[in-house]
Amino acid sequence: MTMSDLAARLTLAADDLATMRAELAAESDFEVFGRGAAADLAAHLTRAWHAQHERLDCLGRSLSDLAADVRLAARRYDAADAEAAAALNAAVVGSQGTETQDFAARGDALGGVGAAWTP
Amino acid sequence: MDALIRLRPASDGLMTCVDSTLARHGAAEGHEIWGLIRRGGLLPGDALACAADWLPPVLAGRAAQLRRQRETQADVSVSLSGQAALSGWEGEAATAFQARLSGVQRQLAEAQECGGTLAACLDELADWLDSARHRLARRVGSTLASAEAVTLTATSPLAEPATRSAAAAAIGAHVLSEVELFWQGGLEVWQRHAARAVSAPPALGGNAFAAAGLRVEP
Repeated sequence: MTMSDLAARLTLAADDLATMRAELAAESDFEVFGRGAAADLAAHLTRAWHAQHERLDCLGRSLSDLAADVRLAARRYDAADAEAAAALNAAVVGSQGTETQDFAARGDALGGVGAAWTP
Repeated sequence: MDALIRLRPASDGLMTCVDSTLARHGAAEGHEIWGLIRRGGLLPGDALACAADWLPPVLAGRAAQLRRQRETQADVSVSLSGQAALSGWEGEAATAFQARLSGVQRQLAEAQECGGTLAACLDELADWLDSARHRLARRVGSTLASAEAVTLTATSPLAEPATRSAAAAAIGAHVLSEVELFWQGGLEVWQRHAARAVSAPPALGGNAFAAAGLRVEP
């Protein structure tokens, strides 16, 4: 699984939570007129219901943020790999005169040099 | 359609009459209806209509919705497990990611728990409503057949305003005392579940990547 797949899974999970949150938010509050035990019961249930969709909302946003961060990290690894590959290419060209060999960024999650040599 | 719904067409006229009589003539000082009205904040007809609007299938439907969501949340939780390992991602950023993801999974488990508890509470409330509505219907039924009801609803009022007022107060107190028990019963059901159904919404920690010094701000 690539980091992009990982980000996509997180986004999917965030979407699921957002859908659940929207379902709960679409329900009306528990309502009564008057006061006393009736009003207390309705208020408690409404608060518990709202707390549940706030929980889902918060979790959905956290997962979206996490997905964005994973995408950002992936881009940074790609950039670092590409930079390392370019440096390797430059070093090889410099040491072998006119003969050129291409190193390409592997772009893996490990973020190491990870360059593949292409004769 | 339960007994309370079946009685509504018959009881609505009587309860409207009770409310208007009480509004026009009041009730004797010290009558128990004053305490009942003060505590509930409604005249008998309004209080009965409000209680009758709470239907067991509505609460059971909401419980079912929460249970369905709980299953979806379990699927989401499974889909999130071991993701960093699957991606082959290692290092400081991967550790930070895993810590953040673990936090989200813990909060997701808590959301499942709270959702399940609230669903159980709503199911129990639906059961309570069934029996409470039945008791309320019996109370309303006995009221409809009472001498006070005849006093209030006779087409040409035979009774003096004071007699009508006393009849309205008697019917009102009879109904309101059951309505009060109705809501107290519901509140007791809620209180049995309250501690587990309500916990603070998640306060997830800050950005773990940022903590790991890996976030690049645009």
